[in-house]
Formats: sequence, structure tokens, C-alpha cells
Amino acid sequence: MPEARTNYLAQSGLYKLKTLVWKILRTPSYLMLFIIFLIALIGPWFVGDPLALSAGPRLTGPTPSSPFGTDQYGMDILSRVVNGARIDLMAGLSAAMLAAVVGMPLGAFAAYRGGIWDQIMLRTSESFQAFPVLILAMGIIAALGSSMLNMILVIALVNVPVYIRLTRSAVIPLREKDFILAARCAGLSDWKILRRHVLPNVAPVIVAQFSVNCAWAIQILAALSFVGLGVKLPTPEWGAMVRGGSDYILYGQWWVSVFPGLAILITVLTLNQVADRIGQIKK
Amino acid sequence: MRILAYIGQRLALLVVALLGVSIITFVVTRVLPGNPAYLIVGIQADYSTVAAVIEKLGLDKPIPEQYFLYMKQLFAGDLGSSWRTGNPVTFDLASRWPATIELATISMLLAITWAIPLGLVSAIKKRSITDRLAKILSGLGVSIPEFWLATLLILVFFAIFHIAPAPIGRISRVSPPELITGMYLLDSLFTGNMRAFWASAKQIILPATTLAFVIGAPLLRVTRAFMNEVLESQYIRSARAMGIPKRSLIFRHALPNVLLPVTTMVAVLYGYLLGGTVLVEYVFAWPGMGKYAIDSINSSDYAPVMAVVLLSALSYLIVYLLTDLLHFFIDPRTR
Repeated sequence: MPEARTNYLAQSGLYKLKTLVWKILRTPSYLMLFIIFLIALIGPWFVGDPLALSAGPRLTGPTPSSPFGTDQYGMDILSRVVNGARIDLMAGLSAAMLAAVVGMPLGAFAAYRGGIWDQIMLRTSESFQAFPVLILAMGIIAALGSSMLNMILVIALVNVPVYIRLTRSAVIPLREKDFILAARCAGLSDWKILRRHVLPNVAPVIVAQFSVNCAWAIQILAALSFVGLGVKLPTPEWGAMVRGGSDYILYGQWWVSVFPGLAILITVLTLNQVADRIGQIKK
Repeated sequence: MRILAYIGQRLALLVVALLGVSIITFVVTRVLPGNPAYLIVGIQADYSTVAAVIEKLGLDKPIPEQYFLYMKQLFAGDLGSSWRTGNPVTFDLASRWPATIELATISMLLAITWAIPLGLVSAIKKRSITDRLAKILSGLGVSIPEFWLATLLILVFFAIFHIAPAPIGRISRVSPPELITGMYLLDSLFTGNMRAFWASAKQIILPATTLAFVIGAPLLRVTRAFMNEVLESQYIRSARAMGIPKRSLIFRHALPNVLLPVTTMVAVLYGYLLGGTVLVEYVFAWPGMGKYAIDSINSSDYAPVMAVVLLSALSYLIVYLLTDLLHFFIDPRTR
């Protein structure tokens, strides 16, 4: 927006920081995301060891000393949920990032070149998207074996087609725009045009998608762990924790599964809200 | 004639997509690192068995030739066999596919009954309590982990209030109905076996509710968005200006145009459901394709997993094709 850029004096670092902070505080979804990241970053220092086995009674409900209760091994659930935030967010962010880094250039390339490359790229991503994401991820994990790295790679892989198609559809209408032609007339290289003129225009769509993809990635990771393919207990991963408690649900011992599940819900919901919000700004 | 040309074109695209799907499954099964022969016969298998599998799959041949062999095997309807159950995978799937289809269909019907009316009402009465409720429900439905929702429903309705039966599959305490379609609800209706009907209906309620909630959320969003768009369109404004009563404005003028994109969404979701009931099947011990896949993975039984992967992609593509064809007949604009 050109109007915002005119006030050069106000563009100092402090001013920028102030506007950013104000923006985060004013928007509930941004604030929530900020809090979740804060918990993931510094939370583990304030809660106990997530792997410490208590000598006392196991499977105790919420009490003042352990507000979320303890699980079947006597591990403190609050501490595990807080530490889980690190693992789930890290995995989600890296998977979504990887998918974007691979998918965006491919999509931009397909749109820019057009023709046979575009067709190949489009058909490939369509074929990928015919598979239910979770089942495809399960199949590949079954072949590769489940490690954290493999999980991130697989979750990224199943999300790549989304970025290819999104970037492609965002770039195609730009291709014929006058300002792109002008840039080309001015002798800018393809790479510079892509970086300076095309990318800033598709950024909001991509950022919104990135947020949604983080949410998906966390959901897939948790789901894989829940069915026993992903992260295994005692690692404090939310999906694995829900799985760990699911046997006790039948006897009404709810806290083991409920709190980690709630953590997934809140995180995913926040990421989706942030995506909606960014999408609105774009309009 | 044009219809034939269209069907021909769509079928050609389907073939391309199938080719892509088969290449992907081929790469996953045969080319990825790790010896697929071991994955197929299991780790405990002796050397001669493994050698036989390598021979049968042609794993010692060049990759293009391997792909050709793979396709030949698929066309012969051979999806391999499961060493866990000792049956050919096609045999195992014959009893499990109907279970998944039954669950997916009931869930879809439930989702349609709650999400579409709510979406329509929330678009018509903007900023009403219904609209706000719709927003909250769709936000929750998109974000909630379905395996957790399933667990919560079991907690509330089985463990606390004892209303629902235990999550132990398709039917309990009553013997299953005579086998006709493999879908218990239909079969028990056909044979007039009401005891089996109620027993299986009770079992399906919780898993179907879980899926209906999760699947209903995107359906609700789409319905609401398109209804909004249509209500703000020029022709609705003209119709309103002409004094057409609100009732007929909504039901005769707006609704037909909304239902078209909504049917597409229903089809897409249904196609997704045919492979996407995995988690819920797992939680409720529902003996469908998804649970079969998970059980197989957990015992390193590989052939069934890839069969399920392939079949779910296939059913998605077919449902999608059928929707396109359906549109062709309903909507004159697509011709």
C-alpha cells in the first residue's frame, strides 16, 4: 500500500515494532498464536520434567500440585502438554515450511512456463490429491519406517501439491499483467521479476495457506502418532498422549486424553483463525 | 453426441489420473529404499521365500519393466496377499469395504442433514444467533482432531451416561444379519431382522456422529458462502424488486443455484470419506478398510496397506467423475 510508505520518518525500527505489537494485541487470533508460541518456547522451563515418573499414585485426577493430573506411568500431564507444544509446533512448522519451499517454486515454474510442464505438474498434483492424505502418509511411513524426520518429510510431501496448485493459480493471472510486461521490457531477469514483482503479490495467499498447512501438519502428525505409527510414548507428543489415555477413557479416567487433545484443538483452531484473518486482509 | 464427447474426455482424464496414481503407489511400494520383498512377506520370512517374492515381483529387473509387471498384476486383480490373515487382500477387502461404505454413507447423510440447512439459514439470517452458532461449529469442526472427538463421545455417552454401546465394532450381542450387501443396516432391513437392525444402528451412531461433525464443517462453510453470494447477486435483487415473496425467492430462485456447488462439495467429501474413516474406524474398532490398513501396518504387513491406499484413491476418482457427469446433466451451463 503506497499511502503507508509515505511516512518515512515514522518508519523507524521502534515504530515498526510498536505497530506490530499493537496489531498482535488487538487481534485475538494473533494474540493466541503468540501465547502458544511463548508456551512452546519458554513454557518447558516452568513445568517439571515431562518424563519424570512419580513414585506416588498413578492415574490421579487433577489436583493443585498437578493441575492436569498424572498418566498411567505417573508422569505429570501438564508438563507433558507444555513440552508437547514444542514438538508438535516444531514438526508442524518444519513440515509446512518444507512443503512451501518445494511447492512454491514448482508452482511458479509451472505457471511461468506453461505448456507441457504445466500439464505434467498439474496432473501429478491431481494424482497426489486423489489419495486421502492420511492414508498416503501411512503407506509411505509403513515403507520408510517411522522416525521424526520421516514423519516431517512425509507430511511435507503430501502437502506439496497444495502449494503447487495454489502458487500456480496465483501466478497465472499475473503473467499477463502490464507491470510484469513492463518489468520484462526494462530488462529484468526472470528470477528478479519473480522475486520482486510476482512473489509480493501472491504472498498473502501463501501466508494464509502456510498457516492452514501448519494446522494440517499438526493434525496429521497427531493422527499418525495416535494410530501408533508416529511418535511413540513416552515422548510428549499430543497425539501419542491421546492414544496413551484412550484405554482409560472407557473407565471414565478422562484427563489423560482430554488435555492433550484440547491442546491440539486450540492450536489448530488458532492457526486456522489466523489464516482466515490473513485471508480477510487480502480482500 | 456432445454428451458422448464429454464423457469420453472425462474418461481420458480419469485414465491420466489413474496412471499418475499407479505410478505413485508403484514408487511407494517398489522404489523407495528398503527391500519391498521383506515388507511383503514379513521380517521373519526365510531366504527362499524372499527370493521367491523377488522373482515374482521382478525386483531384480529394471524399473520400467518392474512398473509394467506391477500394472499387469493390478489388471489381473491381484493386490497381493496378507500374511497376517493368510488371505488374498481382495478377499479380506470384500468383507471390509462394505463396512467402510456403510459408515461413510451414514455419516454423509447425517452431515447433509445438519450442515446444509444450518448453512442456508445462517446465510439468510446474517448476524443472527444461528449464524454465530454456525460459525463456531464450522470453526470447531475443521479444527477438532476427529480421533479425539471420537474419544470424547465414548467418554460421555459410554463411560459416563451409559447410553451408547461399547465401541467394539459393527454389532454386539446380536448375530449379524444374513449376508447380502455386507452393509448390516441394509441387510437386516432386507431380511426383516429388526433385532440386528437396532443393534447395528446403535453401534454406528457414535462413529457416524463423529464423522458427520467433522465432514459437516466444510459443507456448512461452502453452503453459507455460496448462499451469501447468490443472495447478493443481481438476479435476486431484481426478483426482490419485482416483489416476489421471500419464500419463493429463496426456494425457487436462490436454492437451485446453491445446490449445484453444494452437491460437488458433498461428492468431494464422500470421496474423501471412502478413504478417510481410518481414525474413527480405529477408535471404534470398526472392521472397515481403514482399520484393516492400520492393523496391517502395525504388524508390518505391507500388501494390504498399499491395496487400501490404491483403492481409496480409485474410489475418490470415480466419485469425482460421477459428480462431473451428474453436473453435465443437471446444469445446462456446463454443456
